[in-house]
Formats: sequence, structure tokens, C-alpha cells
Amino acid sequence: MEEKLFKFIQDTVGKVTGKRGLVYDTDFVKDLGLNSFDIMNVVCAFEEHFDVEIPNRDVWQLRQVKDVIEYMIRKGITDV
Amino acid sequence: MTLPNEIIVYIFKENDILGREERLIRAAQLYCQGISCASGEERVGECIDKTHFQVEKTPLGKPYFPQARELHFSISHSGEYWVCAFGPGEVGVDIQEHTMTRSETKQEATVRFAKMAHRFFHPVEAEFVTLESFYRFFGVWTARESYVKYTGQGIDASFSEHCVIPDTKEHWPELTPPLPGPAVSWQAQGVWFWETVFEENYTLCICAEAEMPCRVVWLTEEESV
Repeated sequence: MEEKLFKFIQDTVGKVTGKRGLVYDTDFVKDLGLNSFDIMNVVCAFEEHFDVEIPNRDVWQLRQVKDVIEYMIRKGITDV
Repeated sequence: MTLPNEIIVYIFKENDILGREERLIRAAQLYCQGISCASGEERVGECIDKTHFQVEKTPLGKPYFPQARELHFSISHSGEYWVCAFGPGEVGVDIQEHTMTRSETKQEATVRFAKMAHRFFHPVEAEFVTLESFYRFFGVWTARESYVKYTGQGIDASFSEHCVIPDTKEHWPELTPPLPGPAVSWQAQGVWFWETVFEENYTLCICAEAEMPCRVVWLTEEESV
């Protein structure tokens, strides 16, 4: 499941921001140089795909790819 | 020290040879050029020790100079540009390239931005954006970002609660089209906004406590080293 989620995050970030080369420890701001607009775009793409809402207060806790994977699993997302 | 009574935004290209810390120090030195110290001594920016410009962050992430608390600044980056704004009081700055996702048409992006406005913006802003989604979206987005940087609050649970444009339609700002043009300014939330498209498809917005002169300074690689 983690691998599927990782692949989904990789594809979504690539499609929305054009950034490639993600690994589990990739930090969206420090390593990819994403700004708030990029991150909100990615959040919207996730929300639309999974039909969930990610509260703003949670968004900035999701610094690395692995944080997003853990968050999605906690949200009960079991398939992409 | 008496700081200039103006806000200056320094614009750097992301692909120059300077690191972000060096850019910030360079801009701080330029802003401080010619300021008068309490002793009356005139200091030239170059001579101000770089240790004055060591950055720390507040618990909510707003950067500041602990050894030069009177010097206020804010940082933003998007696309090819990295900018920092300096002012004599609290300031927030944001730039944003008018980007779309890969393979998305402008029409599709416009629909998506209208949705994003309803998701992240205040209802009044969402209405304002819906009338002309593409460019107004970036105008409001940069204003929101500059506001939360000004307050130091950052994006938190209350992000959607503040409206950064006037409540009434007759006072809505005439946000600029995608090409560079004159700046537009307005007041909302008890603060002042100054917005311009400084280069084609890049919106820049400043938020400050009160109206004051604003200036954009481009720093080429030669000028910035």
C-alpha cells in the first residue's frame, strides 16, 4: 500500500508542479523548492482524487513525502 | 537607526550564483545604505557587519534579524524569481508566477482556480475571483500570502477567515492584467496592500501597516555580488 501511495504522490506532484525525483524523505519545501501555491495545488489534487478535505492546520505538518503517506493511511485511504 | 521611509523589494533571479542567505544579506546591506545611526554617524551598507543579518524565525516561522529588530523584511519565491521586501515597519511580500499544471488549458485552469478560491478564500474573495478567475485569483492569492506573512501567522486554520479585499464591490481593486503595468493599492483588514505585475505572468503583492512609497529594484548577477 505504501508503495502505491508513494507512486500516486510522485505522479501528482510531477503533474501539478513539474518536479521529479521524489524519495520517501523528500521535503517539499527544502528539497523541491515548492512554495505555498504549489503545495495548495497538490493538496487540492489529493482532495479531489480521494474526495476528502485536508484541514489547513494539517497541511503544514506534511513536510515530507513519508508524512503524506502516513497521513493518508491514518485518514483510512486504502486504495489509489 | 533611522530607516528609509519606503518599502523596497529586491528581485533576484533564482539561477544567479548567490545562495538565498547571500541574497538576503546583500539586499539588507543595500536597504541600509546611507542610514543614520543614533550617534549621527552615517553608515554605508557595505560596512554593516554581516552578523547583523543572521536570521532567526519566530515560533510560527516568520524570519527576523535578532541583531537588527528594527529592520523588517519578508521573503518570497516563485518560478524564476526570488524576492525580499524591506521596510521600516512590519511587511509581508509574495510573488507568484501565473502557472498552470502540465497539459492543462487556460480554460481548465480558470475553472480549477475558481474551485480553489472557494476552498481556500473568504467568500467575498471567492465571489471577486469567480467574475474573472484567472488573473484575479493570483491577485488575491498573493495578497492573502503577503497578509499572513505581514501578521507572522502563516497559513493556519484561520487562513480562510480574513478577507484581503474590501467587502463592498464598489471598493474592489482593479487588479492588473497579466502584463506589467502600474501598481494598484487598496486597504482591507486595517492594513494596506500594494500589488503589481512586475513581469509578464508574475504578480507581486506587498502588505504593510500603512500606505507608503514602494519601489522594486532588480538585481542582476553583477549588481548583486
